[in-house]
Amino acid sequence: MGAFPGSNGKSFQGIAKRTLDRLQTGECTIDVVDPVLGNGCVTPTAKGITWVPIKTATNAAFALGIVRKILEDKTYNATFLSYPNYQSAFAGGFASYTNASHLVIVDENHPNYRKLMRAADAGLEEPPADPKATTPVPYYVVIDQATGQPAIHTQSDAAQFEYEGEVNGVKVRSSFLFLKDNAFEHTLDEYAEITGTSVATMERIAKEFVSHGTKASARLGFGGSATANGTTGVLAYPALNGLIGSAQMTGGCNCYRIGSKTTTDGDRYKLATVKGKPAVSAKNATYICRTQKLFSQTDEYKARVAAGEKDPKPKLPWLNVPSTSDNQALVSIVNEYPYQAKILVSWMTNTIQASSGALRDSVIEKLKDTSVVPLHIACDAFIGEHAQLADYIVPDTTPFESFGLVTQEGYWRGKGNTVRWQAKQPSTIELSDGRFASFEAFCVDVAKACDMPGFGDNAIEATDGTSYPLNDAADFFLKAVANLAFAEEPVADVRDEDVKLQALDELPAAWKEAVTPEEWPKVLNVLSRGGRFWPIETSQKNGRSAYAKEYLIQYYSEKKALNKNPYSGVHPDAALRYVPEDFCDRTPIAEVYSEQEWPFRSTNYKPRFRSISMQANSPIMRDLCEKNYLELNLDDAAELGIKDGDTVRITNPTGDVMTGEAMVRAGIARSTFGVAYGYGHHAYGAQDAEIDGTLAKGDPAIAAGVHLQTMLDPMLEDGVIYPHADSDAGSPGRSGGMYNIEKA
Amino acid sequence: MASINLDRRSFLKAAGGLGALSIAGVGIAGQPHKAHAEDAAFPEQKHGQPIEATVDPETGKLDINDDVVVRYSACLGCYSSCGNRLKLDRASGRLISVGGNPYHPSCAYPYLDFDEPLSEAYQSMGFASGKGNLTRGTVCGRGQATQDVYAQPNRITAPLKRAGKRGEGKWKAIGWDELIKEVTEGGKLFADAGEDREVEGFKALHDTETPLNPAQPDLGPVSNQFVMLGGRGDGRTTIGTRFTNCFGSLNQYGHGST
Repeated sequence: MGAFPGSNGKSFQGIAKRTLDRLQTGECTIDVVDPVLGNGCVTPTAKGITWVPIKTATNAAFALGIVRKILEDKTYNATFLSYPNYQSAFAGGFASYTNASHLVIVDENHPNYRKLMRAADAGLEEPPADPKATTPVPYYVVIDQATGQPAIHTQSDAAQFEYEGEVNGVKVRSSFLFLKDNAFEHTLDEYAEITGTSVATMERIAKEFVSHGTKASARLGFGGSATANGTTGVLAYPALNGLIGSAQMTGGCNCYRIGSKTTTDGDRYKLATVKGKPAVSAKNATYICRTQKLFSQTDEYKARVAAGEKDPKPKLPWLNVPSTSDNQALVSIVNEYPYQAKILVSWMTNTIQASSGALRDSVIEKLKDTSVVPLHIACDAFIGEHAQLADYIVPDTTPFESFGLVTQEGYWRGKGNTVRWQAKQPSTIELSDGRFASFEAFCVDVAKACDMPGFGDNAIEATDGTSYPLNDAADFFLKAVANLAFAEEPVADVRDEDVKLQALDELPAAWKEAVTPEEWPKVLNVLSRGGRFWPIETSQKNGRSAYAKEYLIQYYSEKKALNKNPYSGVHPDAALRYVPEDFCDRTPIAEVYSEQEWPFRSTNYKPRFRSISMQANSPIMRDLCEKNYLELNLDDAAELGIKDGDTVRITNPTGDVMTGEAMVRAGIARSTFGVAYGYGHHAYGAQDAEIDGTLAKGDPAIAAGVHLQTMLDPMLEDGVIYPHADSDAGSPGRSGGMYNIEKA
Repeated sequence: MASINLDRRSFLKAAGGLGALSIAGVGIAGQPHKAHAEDAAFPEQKHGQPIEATVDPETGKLDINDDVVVRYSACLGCYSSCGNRLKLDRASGRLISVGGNPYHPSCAYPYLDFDEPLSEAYQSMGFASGKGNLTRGTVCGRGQATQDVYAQPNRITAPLKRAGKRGEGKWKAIGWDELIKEVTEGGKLFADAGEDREVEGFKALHDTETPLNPAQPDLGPVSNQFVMLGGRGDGRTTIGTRFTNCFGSLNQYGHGST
């Protein structure tokens, strides 16, 4: 949902190889629920593919239509939903549990109103605390199915998930009822209207989804979350999987991204442990991106209330749901809130270009202002939009010249890690000590100058207690490779003939010194394979993923429930609900701007011939696709009098204007326009660069195409720059929004 | 020893199409595992890159070109974390081409077992004994484009310092030691560009004790005003996180929400 298979940041070669065969033989079918058709690794001309052209930013409504149908037909797995804890669910053959039966306090006068009921609220005694536990374990309350009495969730094997009543004199409801309420808020006809799909489609998928036991899966497609109501779309997937208990099950929503401990504390080296690391954490410091905290928990709020302010409002929204957010960090930097970024390092990144709505004059002017960002150092191989605004540029190595250990991405159930290593000598300058200029060398040298822990002599500790230096990339990453080589069963030593074939005996001497003589031949073996992948047969056990861990699906999110909006006082829904896109104070955007005047939504998708902010500098990629297009539905275009190839102008309510070439085609849902990102560069070779007095003219071909401009949020104080974003997670409003389209 | 100048047909036999075609490279059930064309379709190769090996389609005999080294690594054409195959000229170290890694589940399926020797990986790229067209290592167009992307002549290889207003696009090359000294010591770093201001360097900001705002101690220490935007899903970000945390800041941001 929300993305074509293979067009979404998951390995499209891998997905193609695993699905095409099965589609061809009729073993699987795929419903592609996406406003824009194309760009994936399968096409609707392949067997078993159905395209459902959903209206942009309505994923939650589509999911809730399916949920409603399943609830009406009672085709959910009631046994699974009754398990109040992981152990009971596991004993019942599953690999996850839900909080469907956990009770929520709905008594407005109770101090814990909106919270999940705890043992103390119910007058129940908590089990003795585990002396080994580092954080307190919460004990929730359920109504035990056998006794009909309140019980602690860990002490019941089956509980009621549709309970409404009183416990210990407190009004409570089970979590599942909140989902049910929200699902029944609209009829299927209404959901069909909201989503631009049909009742028959939702009914068909609902029926199919519950017909295979645990062998069905709802998955998040990337892109679906990057709308201003993306959080609700993200919640839709686990909500559906919870109805059938398919999470972490073989043939269901299997585990993925399974790898070994490599750059962390592993079998051979403790790469995450640094002696003397400053005790700065989320407990005593605040992320500049305003996450992991409610505004009401900040010292700013407390100080303003103490000073007599009633209901103070923050300059920018606070987001307690996500861990961190790069686009929100950028927004904080340009608005100098909650504090100033005094030194900014932009490393191989282009946040300003990659965030829809950020690449605009007002943001660029702020980043040019040395009183806003006093020192900006970029580290990159090219001068992209970020680096263009830097004071210094540190040359970095390319992917052919650097190391990295990656957990397997993509919907693949096996285990393994990919290893990137310096397969060729870097082209950056050689330093006086034989290292090459790179990000790692920069970090090491700055750290040494500042006398920081974690770099230089004795920076890394092996599991046997030996200390090692960290002076260059190989010192760190080859130890991570050793961790991988020794995980579970150590790999064999590299074969002599493989050493010869890959010229591994010609690698720098410093590499061999970075690990022990015992480790070196095993490290080489892993390098020679570009990583280590375990046989797929070992990935499943007794109908479950062999890597399944305790996994909870929340039908009621207490964290969300308590997130009172400081601008309007509104509480967001704690359960999955269809909420139209809103601004930061939770006012629906359609109440601020007229849908008649701004009838279109954007669908901003990953391009095949660019990569986020990269690859526009490649002449070969430009030959394949010189620019992107504003892609319009055939009927919409006819109504607007726009023909394929016309120049069109797209505007949004906050005055942004985008001009580009129309591509009028089938495969675009009504009332949206498709636009690939990665185009419309200002820099990255599009700009002039004068180095040591020699001018290199920019190449306008690199700038070709349109950069989608998301509107600004109008609900904040004047002078604040806040591109439209999801109110819970802060993800950019890349798709959705409000636009008008006209022939230029 | 394989010759560099092969005719087009032999080239295809050995390289198995090199993964240039994303879908054609997949073994689809019910379709013949065969990609032989008529001899006449392929004119004799007069240009092009040396190939790594030939595999006799009938006997499976492998003939490796010692002039070419094939190394397996990780692709960074996007964030999908696929593997890749780098063909290098043994003598010069020059990158010849980029393809997929048959040991990697995102490039080949079924993928080669870790314990299979590299000779088996060469075999898998040909058509020998029915292996080639089943297990083939491919990367997509983005992955192949990485070679062109990083080969562009405007690549930065030496440190640059701005020589005009910020954003003006004027730079001067400086030495590595000068770079490290300036950014750590701070001072009037841009006097040449007409700026009189004192810039705080890393050393001045490296205070992990004093609150950055005494009225709001929850914001953290002075060092928390160091922010790093950077790090892709590239397995390399740990160094950035390590640096940022050891400096005394929480603020390291990878590509996550962009």
